[in-house]
Amino acid sequence: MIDRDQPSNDAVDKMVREYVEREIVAIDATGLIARVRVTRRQENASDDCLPPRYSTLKPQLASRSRSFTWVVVTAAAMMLAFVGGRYLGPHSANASVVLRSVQSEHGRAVDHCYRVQYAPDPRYWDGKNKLEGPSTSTLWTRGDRFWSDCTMGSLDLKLGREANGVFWVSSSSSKGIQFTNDAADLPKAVAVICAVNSMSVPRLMGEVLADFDLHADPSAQDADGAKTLVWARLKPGRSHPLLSDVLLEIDPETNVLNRLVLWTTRDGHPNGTVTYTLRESSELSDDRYQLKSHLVVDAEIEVHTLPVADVEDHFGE
Amino acid sequence: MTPRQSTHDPIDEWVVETSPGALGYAVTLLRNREDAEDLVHDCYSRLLAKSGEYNLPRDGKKLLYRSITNACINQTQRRSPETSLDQLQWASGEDKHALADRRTAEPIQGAILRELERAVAEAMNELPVAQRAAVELRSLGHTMVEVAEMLEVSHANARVILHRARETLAVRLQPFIEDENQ
Repeated sequence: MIDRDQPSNDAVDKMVREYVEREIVAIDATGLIARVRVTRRQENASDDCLPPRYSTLKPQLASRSRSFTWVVVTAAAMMLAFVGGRYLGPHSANASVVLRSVQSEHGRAVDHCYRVQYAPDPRYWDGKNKLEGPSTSTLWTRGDRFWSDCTMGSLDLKLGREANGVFWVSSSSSKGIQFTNDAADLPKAVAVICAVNSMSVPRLMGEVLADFDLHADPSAQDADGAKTLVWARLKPGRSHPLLSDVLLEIDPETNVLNRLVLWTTRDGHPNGTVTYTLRESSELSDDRYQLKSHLVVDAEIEVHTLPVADVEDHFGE
Repeated sequence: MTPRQSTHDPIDEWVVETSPGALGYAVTLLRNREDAEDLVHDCYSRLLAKSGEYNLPRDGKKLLYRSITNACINQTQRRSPETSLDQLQWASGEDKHALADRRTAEPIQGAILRELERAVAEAMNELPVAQRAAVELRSLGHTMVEVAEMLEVSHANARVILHRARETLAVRLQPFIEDENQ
């Protein structure tokens, strides 16, 4: 088998080369370059430590899903915060206007479905612990509600937040756990996670969003102007327990958030990126945001109210 | 459209230089622009995390393409066989990115060129991702040793993969090859 002996190989290679070159020339890598630069900049990040992970779930569920849960909950929550929250940074009128429009659009009773990918920072993931490895999930959101179907290796985990604010997790159709804590009673780190799920909590703006500068990046628009990028970056000297940078990619015609990238931090170092990509917008049954719709009829539902002392132990407060 | 930075930064320059090619390559393998950007970003992140161990401006491109190739193959084989509208459009040969300068081409030449572009795109899309990667890498000038390394297979296996890819493409593109040889 000597490929080069066949004259057709040269012609095939030439056609393939031209095909690949056409694709490369057509590519706008601006967004990718910007994302890589942010990742590089994080090498010097020295943000406040993220407290140890939440581990007060039932042992089996907690042991298998706690890191992933943290990632997904945090990421989902942050997306909701940015979409539905009052994210009006003072430093960029353009960005604020854009995000107001996004906020308005996503405030409608429309269900948006995102694919969520988590990529751990390779410097701080040993490549062995699958629980902290890459993961993919499908996230549905409507206003301040969400539910997510997460897959990480052999683990299939569903989690969500109902209209009444109850957060829930389920690792099988026969069992689910609901959390009913009042966010006001939780220590700060936990409250942040809860608060970002609640669009009506002013504290959210103060604690999560006030430390970020907004910057619209018109130079990064497509050639046909089909997207608008908005960066949210920590203000100099500020820190945040969960995030260092956020990138929002918005469809300027529909004001729908097409993509969201979060650069997360943990224990004072970059933790990885979470990328949301819009898959579809449609109408979903209200039931889908409720735990019971993901369980069989006779499933066991545990209701947890976390002891603050236990939580503080885990979150270092 | 490439972002510029005022200070000299060899690694940043390497990223700027390699990213269009890397992204374009990943797009051809995954046939999904967004998935490709996420994947290539992850590959850059892994390499940049080891920038102290490697001379990226010198050696990084091969490492990057190896990482992308593996990630694309893994992702494609892991992905459920769902088909999006984008993929259908792609597979149908509606090449929205075709860049041949048709303004200067004669109408007939332009039509032939478009037909060829569609045929190549369709034929490439029919190949398994490993074959697609092999034939693309080879056509871009990588040696067989490099192709084998990037596919993480033996040299002999790489040759088999490449041979099958070329064979399939040659059959599919036979009319155009004959025209070219005339």
